Amino acid sequence: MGSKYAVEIWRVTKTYGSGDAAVVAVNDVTLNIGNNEFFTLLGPSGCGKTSLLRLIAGFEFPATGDLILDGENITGTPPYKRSINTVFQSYALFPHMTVAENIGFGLKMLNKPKSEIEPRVQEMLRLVQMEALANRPVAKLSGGQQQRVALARALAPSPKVLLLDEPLSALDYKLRKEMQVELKRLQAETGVTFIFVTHDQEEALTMSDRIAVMSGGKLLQVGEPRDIYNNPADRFVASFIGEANFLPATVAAADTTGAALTLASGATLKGPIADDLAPGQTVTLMIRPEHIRIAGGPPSPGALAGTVADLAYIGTDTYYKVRLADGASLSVRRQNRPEDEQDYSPGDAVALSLPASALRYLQE
Amino acid sequence: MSAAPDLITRQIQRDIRNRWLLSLPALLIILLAATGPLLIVVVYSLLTPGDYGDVKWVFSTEAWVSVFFQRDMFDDTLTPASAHLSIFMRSVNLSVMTTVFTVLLGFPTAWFIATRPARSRDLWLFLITIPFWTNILIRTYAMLEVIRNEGLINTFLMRSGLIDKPLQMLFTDGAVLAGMVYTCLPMMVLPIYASLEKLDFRLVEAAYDLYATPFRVLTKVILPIVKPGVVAGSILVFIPSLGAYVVPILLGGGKTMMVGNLIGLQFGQGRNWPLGAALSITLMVVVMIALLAYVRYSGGKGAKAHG
Repeated sequence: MGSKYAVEIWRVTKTYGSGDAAVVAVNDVTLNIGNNEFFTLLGPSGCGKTSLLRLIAGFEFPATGDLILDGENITGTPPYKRSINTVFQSYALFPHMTVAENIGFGLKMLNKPKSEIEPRVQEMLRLVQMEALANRPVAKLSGGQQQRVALARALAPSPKVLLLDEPLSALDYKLRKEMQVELKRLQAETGVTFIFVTHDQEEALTMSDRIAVMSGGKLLQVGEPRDIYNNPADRFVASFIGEANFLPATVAAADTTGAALTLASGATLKGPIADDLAPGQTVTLMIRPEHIRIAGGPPSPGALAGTVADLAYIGTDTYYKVRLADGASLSVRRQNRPEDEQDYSPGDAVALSLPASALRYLQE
Repeated sequence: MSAAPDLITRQIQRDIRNRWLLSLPALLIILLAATGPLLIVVVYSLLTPGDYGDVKWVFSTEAWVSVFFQRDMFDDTLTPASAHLSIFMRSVNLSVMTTVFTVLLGFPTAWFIATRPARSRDLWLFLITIPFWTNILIRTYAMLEVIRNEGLINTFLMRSGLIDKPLQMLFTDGAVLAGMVYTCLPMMVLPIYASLEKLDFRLVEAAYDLYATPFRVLTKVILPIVKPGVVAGSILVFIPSLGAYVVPILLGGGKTMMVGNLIGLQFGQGRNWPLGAALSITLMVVVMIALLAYVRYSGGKGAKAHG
């Protein structure tokens, strides 16, 4: 590959409609996607992730901005001249062709000789484990099999970039889990850059090298799964990926060893070090439910007193909804271990400790 | 348990009997309205022509002989009926041309309608069907009014000074073809639209995505999938075109005779009903052969979808 990046998206904007009814689907997005990367566009439906994918595929063209594929500007290039293939959400297999004909279609359109198409189709069939069904009409395949054919068809012409538009959303849970592993394997084996669109945060976290979180047509945060989960850029990212508790607080004092924070109830907490904290400043604290420690009895110094309002047992863990003195409630997730005898019931007084290392300051 | 298969068999038998009873009215109508008249035509083709039209109930194969041969006026020798053959060829030719042109015009029209927003599609379809409200004779006269020497087009061209004397458009082969295409076009647009409407446009995107140029998207993906519609439309246009009567007379001026006119002539001035009947059956056979050939050539899928 000639370029450092497989795809460079530079200040791309896409609007639908015009005048007052105009909808900005993609709003000034700048993004670089590396070679051989498993990159995920994550966001709720209508966030612009599919629009961005369609712009990369060339089904639509940006109002402003540039798209670079492997160092070459493809902003105005039609889809049939881009070395980018798509796996559609609905698979979009050609109903009048067999499995093998579907897989060979791209190569045929590239005017490759038969001697080249046939071995490649066989190779693809092997890759997705569909050798036995090569001559089957696609209408007679199950959802999972159609999925595999769609993948093989898109990979057969060896594109520089493979786009996947929520390809697993139509599959049932077990098959989806299998295909997640399968997709990771295919990406590693082929070395093709994958751009994967999903609204499923768990799917994004398990599969991706990097994730871009989108909302309202804008890019909110780009980073590795761990990074996004541990250091979400804002409230939206924090609550969209994983679960999050938010606490408003005032900075009482801040220095190089940490910060002293006062909650609305008057309780105090120790917070992590941050650069731009000034006494008197109001901040929003974020903490993941599994990072809060719950204990029975009166609170030790530095812990918050609360009452269990509700609980949900989910096997591996138990969720507690704990109401604090000021009426705010926190979600706490505790792993169920055999040695833990103590179980809390609604109405029990508990103490919550929020470790400073698990607290994050968020921009509103 | 042992009675169960017996019960099922009886159930199936009763089911079959009920179905026959239920379809009896339809079968009767088909028998009376289609097969009956056809039999009359076959019988008439084997009778002797009456003096003032009608038939004499005397068996004769003369009508069939004169479909294929012409009898010399003086010595009764038979030579192949080249006049009939050329009329048939001309009709087949016109029908094929009409079918081809209606496909060429009808497909883009149907595509246009199918790609409109769902709400305005109904309006476009409505516009397509409006010509059906008017009698074909009146539609043809309207066309005649447009293309005749003192008609709309010529008047406009003369007034604007583009030409000095009127273009001869009426009473030409082109006029007949244009008239046929005009009257048959909706029959082509509607079945193609019905196929295109069901087409999943994501398949078009998938083909684009897989390096197919717009032309190859059309030939490799769209056309194979909507073929049943094109086949159905072609059949709907081709058959009536072969028997066309009004358009060739009015727009062709009777100079170029088609099979329809030839048959009409036998029942009118020709006063040879048996020959007319024999020619009708011949036309039917030609249509059947043409259809069989067409359906086989187009892969048979259309026949399955509409038969």
